[in-house]
Amino acid sequence: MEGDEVIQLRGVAKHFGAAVAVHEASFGIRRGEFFSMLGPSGCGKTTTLRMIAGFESPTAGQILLEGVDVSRTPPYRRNVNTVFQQYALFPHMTVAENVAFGLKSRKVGGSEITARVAEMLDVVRMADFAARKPAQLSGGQQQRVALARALVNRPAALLLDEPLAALDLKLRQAMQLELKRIQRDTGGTFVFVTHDQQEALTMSDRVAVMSDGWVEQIGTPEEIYHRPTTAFVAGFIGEANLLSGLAGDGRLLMVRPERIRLERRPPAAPDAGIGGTVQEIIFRGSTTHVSLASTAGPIVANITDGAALGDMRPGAEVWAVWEASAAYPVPATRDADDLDDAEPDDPHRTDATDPSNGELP
Amino acid sequence: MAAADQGDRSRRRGGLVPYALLTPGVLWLALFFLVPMFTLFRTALSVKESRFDLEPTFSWRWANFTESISTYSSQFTRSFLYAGAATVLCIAIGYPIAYVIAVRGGRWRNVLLGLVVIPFFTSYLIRTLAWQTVLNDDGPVLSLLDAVNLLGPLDQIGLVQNGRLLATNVAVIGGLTYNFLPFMILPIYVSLEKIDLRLLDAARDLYANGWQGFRRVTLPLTLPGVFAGTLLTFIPAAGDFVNAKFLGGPNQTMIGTGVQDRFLVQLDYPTAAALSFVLMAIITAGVLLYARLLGTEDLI
Repeated sequence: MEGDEVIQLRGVAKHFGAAVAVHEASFGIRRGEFFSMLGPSGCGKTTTLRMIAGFESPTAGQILLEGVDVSRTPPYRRNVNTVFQQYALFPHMTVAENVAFGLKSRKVGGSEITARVAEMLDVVRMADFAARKPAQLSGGQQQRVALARALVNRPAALLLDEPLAALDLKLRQAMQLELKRIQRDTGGTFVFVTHDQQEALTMSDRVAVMSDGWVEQIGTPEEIYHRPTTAFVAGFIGEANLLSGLAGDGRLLMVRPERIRLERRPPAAPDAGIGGTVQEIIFRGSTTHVSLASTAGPIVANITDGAALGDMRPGAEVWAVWEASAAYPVPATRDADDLDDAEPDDPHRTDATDPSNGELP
Repeated sequence: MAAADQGDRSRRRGGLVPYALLTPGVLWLALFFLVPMFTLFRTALSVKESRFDLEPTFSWRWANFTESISTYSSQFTRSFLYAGAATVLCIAIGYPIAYVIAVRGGRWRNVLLGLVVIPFFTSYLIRTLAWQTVLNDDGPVLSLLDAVNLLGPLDQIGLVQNGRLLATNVAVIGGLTYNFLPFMILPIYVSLEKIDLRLLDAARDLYANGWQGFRRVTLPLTLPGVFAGTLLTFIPAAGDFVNAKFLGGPNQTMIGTGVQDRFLVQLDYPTAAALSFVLMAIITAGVLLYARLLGTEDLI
């Protein structure tokens, strides 16, 4: 499985003038996997996808598609297809004509085109809409057509550029499941770009977390959630407490808020903990959110059993306690040699903490 | 209760606003289009009793139409051929210009568009008279062609006649093309500019090279612009008489020349009116057919 990589990036970088969109990225995408590139806007994920598609050419490095260097190959000669963020359906063509576009470019025979278009419209459940124009479709329907238009060409990899961003929450969740189903049914390799960490965790076999043009970590959703290798990943994927001074050699100790208990006395042997002062208690339905101030930094605990808090009030002195296995040390900064390349005002290494902390007064 | 009443009243007022806004336009059309049309139609069916009779008498004379068509058949043919040729040339010259401005113009876009519009700062007549000077028998174009020994070959293929450019079909078609080119460039530019560039990315992503992307995406999406440009070029060109008058000779007269001659020189109002109506009818029929062929109602 390891050797069967459809796409390989070897030291791929992209500069726009003086600005660096992507620093040297090297990773592979395996056949049949659902691979996500996740990060905040401006992290380089879309640029990376556009380089794989061929819309941008890398400033340095190589992109291999099924073992062949395609770094300088124009998009119309690459066997990958893209689902664009705003779908980019051709407004003057019907749904069927849109789906047939790629097959016509490749001079596929007329009867085969008809058959494959019909088959693909079935897969995306749009067969009844074949004669419609895109303007007559809802956002979700346009999304399905965009998928069919790309997948009908049987690409080596399907590239999806935030395809769900334009949909409302309900539809987005439905389309997430739908996308997974289509990926299973077609057995294709999907490369998915998103800024929504929940979406990436839900759908992906592996996730590449990106920030400021750097690939921070690549791993399964469980790996990046439980064993983040950088403070940025820890803070960006879910909520995280990043405690300083507890892990040694300048590293931060990551403890997820749901793994923290609040107790009146210091923890005993297998457990660890730190004392703090309650700042705020917010009832959130299924959990109660308690923020503490401690010598290791701010701490957030999500308590499932609200009754266990008793009559706790802001100002109370308590212990935040966790099982030793719930804590995971992460480097406070990137590796030293990487730091040399980083911009001087690069904020992503040092002060990347749980973004939800910022919401608290 | 009072609030609901007020809301109701404002809605009713809102319902009247569009009509109020339409009124000036409708009045304008009625006064300066429908009334003159009616008068013109009456005139077209009238008879001029004598040479010195200025006001013709209305008499349901439908023969005015058939007579004017047969008398001016060659002018009709020429008008549509000239206008057609000028329109085709305007598309051939104007589309690439519009394309370059829209796609490659960058920050020069507005400057380039300004250059397209600049001729409008001078009167139509002056511009055409300037062309007369340019194409004159001892003007710069012919002198240049003579100097590089192209006059003979061009005479042979008919672009120049007996060493002259003026009083040829080429001159009139050239003048029409020059004068109406901006009316072709601007609507095509607008339709090109409206195209979502991501559609071209999508076409390239779906294995269409540059030419295929243009033919299958850009061109069909700009047909409404070409259609609008054609209307703005062909219709006035078909009715034009200025270019035929200044750049053409007796063998280049167009239907506009005929209308002008009958109205202003011979004071034969019935024939002039009938000619105008026939021209209008043919153009209307042509436009409807053209719209059907291009399938534009689907695109706009």
